[in-house]
Amino acid sequence: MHMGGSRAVSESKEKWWRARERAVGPTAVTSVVADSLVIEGSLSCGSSLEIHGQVFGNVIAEEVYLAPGGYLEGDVDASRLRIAGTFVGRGDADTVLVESTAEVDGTLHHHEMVVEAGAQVRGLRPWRPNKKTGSGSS
Amino acid sequence: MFKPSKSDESSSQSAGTGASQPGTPAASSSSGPGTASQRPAPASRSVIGGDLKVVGNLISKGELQIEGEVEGDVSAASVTVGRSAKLNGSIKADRVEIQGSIKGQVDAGSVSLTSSGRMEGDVLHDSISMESGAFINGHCRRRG
Repeated sequence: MHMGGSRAVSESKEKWWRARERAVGPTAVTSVVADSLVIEGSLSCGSSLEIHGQVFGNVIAEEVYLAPGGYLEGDVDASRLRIAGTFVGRGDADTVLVESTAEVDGTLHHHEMVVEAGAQVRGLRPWRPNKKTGSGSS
Repeated sequence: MFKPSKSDESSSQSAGTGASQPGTPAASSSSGPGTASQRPAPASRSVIGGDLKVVGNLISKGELQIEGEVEGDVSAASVTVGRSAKLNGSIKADRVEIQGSIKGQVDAGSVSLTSSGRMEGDVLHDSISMESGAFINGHCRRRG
């Protein structure tokens, strides 16, 4: 019963997230920071980035997925930011999804945002009325 | 894809967790399709994509594939520097395959330089292989 409820929530969350992906178009190239990788420095790319490991530095990308168990400390500038791991720093994205497994310590600037039950979010979540320029169609 | 070698996986899992929740593996695999089809499995292999630029050091115990640009030192078990990759820094690894270009030192057990590889710097190795057409400007020395 509990399992069914959480599945329904996760499905609607996925739907919501996919809709945002479709609005901009899927990002072809995916870079992956695997769980054994530690990066000390900044990353910038025009497509999507998956972080299962640890990143200490600033990240600029179209889409950032911080996986459960992943750790990111620094500033993030993205169109879509999906957090399921631990994030420390300042995030700025049009669409922010904070999953139940997430731990956030910092500021999350956003245009639209979903925070799942169970997520630990410390800090401000300022809303931005406009989308970023250059992030595609409205 | 999300039900690979089901019998082996589930039996080892239930043995490990003491069969506390027999429903859990099935539930996780049934919620898998949505995410599994979209995202690659959480691999132990890291990929620095073609349009990614990293300024800083990369330290890994696993496999690392670089297709983009890295300004900094790399340390991993296995490093593949792809055709489009540009690395400015040193590599320390057990195994290195060079298809792209490197400016810096390479220190590895096994080094292979393919025909598209371009290496500017010294190579410290236990064993090295070079394809014809490969570019190398530096010293090659056996370590140990």
